[in-house]
Amino acid sequence: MSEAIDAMNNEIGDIGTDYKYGFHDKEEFVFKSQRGLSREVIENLSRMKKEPQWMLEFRLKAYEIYMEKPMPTWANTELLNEIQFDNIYYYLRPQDSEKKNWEDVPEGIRKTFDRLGIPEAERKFLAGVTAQYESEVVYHSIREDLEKLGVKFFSMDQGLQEYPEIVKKYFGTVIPPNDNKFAALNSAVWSGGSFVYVPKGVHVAIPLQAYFRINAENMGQFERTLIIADEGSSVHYIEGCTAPTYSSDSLHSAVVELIALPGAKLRYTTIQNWSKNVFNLVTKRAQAYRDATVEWVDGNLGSKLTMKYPAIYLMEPGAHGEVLSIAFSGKDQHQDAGSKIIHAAPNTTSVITSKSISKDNGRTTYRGLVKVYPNAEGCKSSVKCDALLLNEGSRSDTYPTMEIDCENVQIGHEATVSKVGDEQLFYLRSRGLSEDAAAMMIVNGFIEPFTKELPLEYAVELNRLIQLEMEGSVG
Amino acid sequence: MTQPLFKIEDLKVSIEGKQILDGVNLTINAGEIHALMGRNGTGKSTLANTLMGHPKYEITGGKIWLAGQDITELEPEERSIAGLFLAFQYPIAIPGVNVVNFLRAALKAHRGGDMPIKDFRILLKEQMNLLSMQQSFASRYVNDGFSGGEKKRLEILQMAMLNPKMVLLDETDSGLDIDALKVVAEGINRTMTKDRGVLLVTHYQRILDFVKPNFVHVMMNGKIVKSGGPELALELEKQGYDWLGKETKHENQATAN
Amino acid sequence: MTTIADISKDNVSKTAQTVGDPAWLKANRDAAWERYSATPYPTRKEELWKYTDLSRINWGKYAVGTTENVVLSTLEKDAAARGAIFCTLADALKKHPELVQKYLGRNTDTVNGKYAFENLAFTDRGFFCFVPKGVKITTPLHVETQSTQDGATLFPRTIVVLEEGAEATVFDQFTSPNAKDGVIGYTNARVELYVGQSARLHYLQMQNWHNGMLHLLEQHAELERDAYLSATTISLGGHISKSTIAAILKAPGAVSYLFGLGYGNDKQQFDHHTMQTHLAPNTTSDLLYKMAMNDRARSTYTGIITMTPDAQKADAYQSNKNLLLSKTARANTVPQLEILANDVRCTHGASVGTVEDEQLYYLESRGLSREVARDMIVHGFFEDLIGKLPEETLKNAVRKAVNDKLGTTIELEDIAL
Repeated sequence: MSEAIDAMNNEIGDIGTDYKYGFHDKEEFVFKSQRGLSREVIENLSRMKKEPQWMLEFRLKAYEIYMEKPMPTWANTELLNEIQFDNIYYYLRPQDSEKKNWEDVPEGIRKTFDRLGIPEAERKFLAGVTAQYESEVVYHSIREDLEKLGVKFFSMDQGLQEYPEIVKKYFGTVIPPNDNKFAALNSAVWSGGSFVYVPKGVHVAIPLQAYFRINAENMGQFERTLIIADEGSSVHYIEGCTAPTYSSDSLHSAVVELIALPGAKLRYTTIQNWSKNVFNLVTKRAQAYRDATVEWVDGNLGSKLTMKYPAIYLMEPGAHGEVLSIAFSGKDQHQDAGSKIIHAAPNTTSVITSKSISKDNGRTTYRGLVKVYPNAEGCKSSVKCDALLLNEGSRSDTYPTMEIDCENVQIGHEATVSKVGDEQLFYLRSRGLSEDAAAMMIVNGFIEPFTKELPLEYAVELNRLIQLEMEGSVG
Repeated sequence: MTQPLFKIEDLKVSIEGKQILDGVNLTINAGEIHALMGRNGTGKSTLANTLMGHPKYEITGGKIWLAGQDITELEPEERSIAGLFLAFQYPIAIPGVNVVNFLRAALKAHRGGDMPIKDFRILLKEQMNLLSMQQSFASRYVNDGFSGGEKKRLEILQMAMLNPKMVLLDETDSGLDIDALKVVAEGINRTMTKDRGVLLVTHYQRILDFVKPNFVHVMMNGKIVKSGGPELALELEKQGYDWLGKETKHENQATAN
Repeated sequence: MTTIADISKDNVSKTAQTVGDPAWLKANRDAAWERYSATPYPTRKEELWKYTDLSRINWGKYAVGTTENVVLSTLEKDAAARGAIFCTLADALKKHPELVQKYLGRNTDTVNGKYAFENLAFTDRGFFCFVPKGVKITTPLHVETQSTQDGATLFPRTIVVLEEGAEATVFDQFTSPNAKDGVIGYTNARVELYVGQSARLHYLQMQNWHNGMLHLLEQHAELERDAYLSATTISLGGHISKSTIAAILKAPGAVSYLFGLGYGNDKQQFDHHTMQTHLAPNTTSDLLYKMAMNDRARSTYTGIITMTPDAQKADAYQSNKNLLLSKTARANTVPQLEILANDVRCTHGASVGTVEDEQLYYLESRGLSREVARDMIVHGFFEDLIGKLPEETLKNAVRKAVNDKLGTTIELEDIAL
């Protein structure tokens, strides 16, 4: 086992060289906390952020829970045990305060974003930007029309300062700190992330978007996002991740809480492309109330190990949840992803569609749960998982769980595992496509149900990323 | 004499060790339409797929020439780009890939570069109109959930778009009602030029009422056992294939041309 | 009287004496006892025991050393003359010790931990079926293991060996004839099936115990080249019934079918765990488990298809269907895939549903009472699975057992027209 890990570590040393976004800027920090975690680190952090007392208490309580909870034993413990928690910076901030205008953002940071091609694209297409660089929001703008609508779109820290009542009412209610070890860790040291409140009846026509990046070696990112869609409103939030590459492991452990109040429609889209040494251990959960809809659109391409199971609690009748996900595991990667749907009320419905692709010795795991509470009559749920294995040595696991405590329901699960079909390859090649191009086309078709849900520029980016991953992959 | 467009020389093929083609010879010149007939299981589809380079079929002897180039060892896509086209008997579904993206990718591979979108759109619309295809057809996934007729029309659309030198049609008439057959046949005839060769593989005479062959060949037990003009097809329709079996026992191996 | 709670190494020796162990078997038992003693009871924290909690069982109520009947049908004379063996384990140990030694305990693979070692140490009954090369037995072989005494413990062992090209059908049944209400019992059974090259085995395991039985079973099948196995598990009785069923496809061309049927009422708990393990290329496995739960009964199905890197061009299917018949019935289903070979076809599915009102309405509109209509739909639900059994007598035995449990008046015999 340890040999495998050694081998993996050696490989990781090489990965950075061809990572597209694998550059990093000189670190420039006003404040740098020490490695490792303690009560003092948390107290310092909270003081620096001028937080209310209740938040400090929330953090310290979460810290206790984090220390007590054991590491999960059901997951890829081999990889999890590589994380050196004492070697991580739990809080960093690049500058003293947030900048209002792009021009005020320090040049080094702007350069990083320029190289990722973010701001132009966002200015053109998107409403507001909260770009997380290190642990603090450094750039933040909301277009005037959003402000007019009463939509609040801030960094989580700023949200806490400006709307403490809303934050206090909802923060940690969807995902309490004792939910799991990493949620507890995030609750103790969270920093940055987004706070979104969409007032009653407001429809946000364009997606809200935030970019997150990790840049300092051995630093953890613990952003915390809370989105509240009030009654009858609708909003689409997009989170995209790209990260520069370092040779030692980095930890990313976010918590995302979504609340869709009656009749609201809330979609959360993520394309995760952390560099291949990042541990991405994320807790994402939504509550959908009467006739509300929540959709998680979740793509996992990067990281060494991702553990992420976006959940939807269907709290009241008529609520609907959808999870649409893709995972791509290349060399030495393990995407352990899935989804959880809890039917806690009658006549609630859910659809889970999961597509995964494994290449080289990559491993994808679908881990899911559909639970129907007693008396949640008339629930319907359908789960479909398709896995594509590209090479000998690729691996795919499917672990769906269905716990059904109610009679009058329709619950279905289907999964298939296959490889790129020889006949499909031949057909496309007979039309002049090279073997690689043909395989790429089949893979693109395979994930098409996912990409068609993405905004165009994301779909194009995703296809390009997968194309890079796919080169010379038909085995 | 100029070199023939397409030439099959003593082609021997086996699948998983079992010999299916036992020395096929055939020459097709530009501007000619040849029909290859025979019962099911005589090796017709094997021949078509072997010519296109299906990896399952192992060539144990012989050569295939296209416009003077030896294509025997080429990959399927190289044959396609060299100008060979096979309209499949059972076109396979590629879920999630729509017709437009597929055709653009194929054209790009053939032309060695992208075609301006505007030109591509004009070309595609024109060709689809000629095949009486609804525009919505273009956004559907390749052969996914297509009826038999729709699949065959998509094959002909691809042929029209890629404009190959040499066309192999494998049982293109099977599973088509008479109206669909007319549309498909019309597509074949309309795109026929004096520079193109066609090999039409079928076990029915029916399509030959619409696509007139210059030559007809009969295949049995992995060989071409008789060749002739269009009248041979009519004779086969009247008499079936049985008389041929008897005749060939006495004759030497018949070869085309 | 010794109970399981205060069982000791002495009991291992006593059991060995009663059964008439040769030295090698006694040694096997002692080794199993060591592992048994060293292994803790599984807890609900373990995936396979998550839904079945035995921690509150009072093991002091079960008396060790009870004698109960094992009734065997007669082997065809022809087959016997050609070397086929079908007898109780004790008889087999006396008459064919070398042959039994070759297979008994050949495989001690287990996922049941402590319980499996318990059976290995205390095996006290069972049968041995051996069909030599090329011998085909046409009449189904029937074994009925019975329990009637209060607090009885049974540690049965089934061993079926089919040599190259052999064929047989084995019906392995657990029953409680005339058991009174409130009578309790504990069974911990192990089944080992060895299907040789090109051999064909139909194995039907049915438990229709009385409702006081705690039933544990671990079944392990090994398939050689081109072997064919159809193994059906029928679970009707007991208050807790947990079965672990494995098919190991060891060589190319092996084909395995695993079928399961369960009907639960009252507060019965059923737990089926299946394994389809493909170790070789071009192997095929199929699985269908159908569970209908009424009252407060609960079904848990967990199943895993494993394709090892060698299992290229293997084909596997797994389906678990659940029918819930009351508001308080429950079903958990966890169908799993672990695929380490890329050129395979693998599909699984699971569903949980209820009897549709439209179906009930249709039958009621033809004059059936709601209860009969529902029973009929339950029968329909099971019928495709029952139809997969090889012999009419077996089909009818299963239909009758299901019928008895449903307490229905529906006549299901085929009526010739």
